[in-house]
Amino acid sequence: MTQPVRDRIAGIPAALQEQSALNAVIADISPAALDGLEAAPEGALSQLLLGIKDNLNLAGSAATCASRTLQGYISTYTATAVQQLLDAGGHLVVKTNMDEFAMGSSSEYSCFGPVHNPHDADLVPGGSSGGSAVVVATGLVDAALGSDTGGSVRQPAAFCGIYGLKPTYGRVSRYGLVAFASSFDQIGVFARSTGTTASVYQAIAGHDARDSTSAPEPVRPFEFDGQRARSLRVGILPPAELAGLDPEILERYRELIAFMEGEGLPVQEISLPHAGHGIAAYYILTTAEASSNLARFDGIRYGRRLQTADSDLESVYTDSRSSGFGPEVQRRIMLGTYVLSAGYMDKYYGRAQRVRRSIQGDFTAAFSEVDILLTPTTPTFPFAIGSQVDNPLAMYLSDLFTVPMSLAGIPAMSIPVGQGRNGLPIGLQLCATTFGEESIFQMSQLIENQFQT
Amino acid sequence: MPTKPSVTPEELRKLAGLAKLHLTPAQAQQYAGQISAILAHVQTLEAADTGDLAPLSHVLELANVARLDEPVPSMERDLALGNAPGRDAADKDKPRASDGEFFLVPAVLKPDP
Repeated sequence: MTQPVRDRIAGIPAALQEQSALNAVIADISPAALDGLEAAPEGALSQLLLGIKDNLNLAGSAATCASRTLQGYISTYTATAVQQLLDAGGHLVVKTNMDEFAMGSSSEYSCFGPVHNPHDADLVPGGSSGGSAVVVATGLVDAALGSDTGGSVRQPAAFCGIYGLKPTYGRVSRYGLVAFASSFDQIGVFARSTGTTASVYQAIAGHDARDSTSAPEPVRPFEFDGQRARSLRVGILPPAELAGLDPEILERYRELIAFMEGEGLPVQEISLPHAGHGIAAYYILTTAEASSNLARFDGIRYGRRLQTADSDLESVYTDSRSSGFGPEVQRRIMLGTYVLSAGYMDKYYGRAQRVRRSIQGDFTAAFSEVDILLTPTTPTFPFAIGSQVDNPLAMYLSDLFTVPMSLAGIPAMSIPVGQGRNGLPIGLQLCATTFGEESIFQMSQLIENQFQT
Repeated sequence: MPTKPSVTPEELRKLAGLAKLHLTPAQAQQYAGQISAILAHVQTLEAADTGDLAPLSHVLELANVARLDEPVPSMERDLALGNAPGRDAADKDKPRASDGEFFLVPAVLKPDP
């Protein structure tokens, strides 16, 4: 084991102290990484310090999901993706702050308080995997895992100026990831380069017998091939589907398209006619799934329980859950309960499922004509902490460019493309067809070589 | 034009009860407004032309996966019970939620008064 890695791990507590105002970390687990250093295997990730979002289980460590509900809970097993990081020689040093149960777009809904953007501490870092994005952006770690249900890796990556990949649904085992919306959730990767993102992705991708929704398709290794990258056909959104986009982000989008055309890549406009309904369908389907998944947090077997001498079983459930869940989680549980209730089921849930199929159809049609779809990641720059917490609908609408890919289950990655005149990062999104991660990496590397040398 | 969906605070408290959540009157008032606004937005789906498409519940269109029914080790009882609520020193005023063999809950069946 090389000295620098040991020194870097040993330096984590002091480095964390320095950036404690960002509130990106829930638990410092670097002492265990230091203890395990001699026994750590040599592998593709041996030189990497890593963070994991606090909704991923690591045996013997707390997993809070940033919720009072899980106070006192210690993981009894390790998530498959986390184990794969360890098996590849990676060093887990921090568990990161997040929106409670991964519900949010700002990392403000945490029982540990909001996470701050390293580029401007008055702004949000994005969410829900905000803590993971911040520890990568500040250089505390080399890469981190988050989870992405509707943009929770891609949007914070864009807001913090780093790479953030949401793999194809089913590409990475969800075993040991605390479930939010099971037909959407996917573990994703943050890093500061295409190469590191791809290395960590390759370590965690693949089939897992413990997750029956994980895919058996082989994982294609990534090695940059300029010729192959320049052969990729690129789709871009027509102006009508970019309405409401910040003018400076639009300007950068146009610049990147010009770069691609200059490289000789075939570029054409691709319309996604149903994507405009994405947010509405997404919030029906995911809250429905969440209201079911979160029923397990009842205060009986683990976590927080409120019980007095007068309590009966019903009041233990209700008191424990009401005092344990924060406002956004309660809102989504209620919304999910509403859309699944008798009389509304077909009006909302059934219709949203049909819209989900039409959005998937939009992408199937798109990827018969192009290999990569380039879109903005976010419609705006990072917003101010506190500016949207009481207007959940406004917060939901900020996910409009990331949610359609989650509905369709396709891979998508936010890549940093410089900063605006305000000094804040801009991210754009590369999407590919199901299991097309390797094409995304090729295009990302081509762009990285041009803009980040 | 369809009527705007809205949820009254009273309806919301009833709904919350189904999800084992208790709302104060002030919370019910605030959440009812927010959830009504969200429902008004999701109502826009009625304008989506989905033709006769079948609902999509899962992107991978998975089939059931079967495995041999063989015994494998499962979680040790002590490990599972170790997470029972109210067992750490800071919580010692609360009823312990495990007796070392089972999780404990308030009596489900009450004796006749």
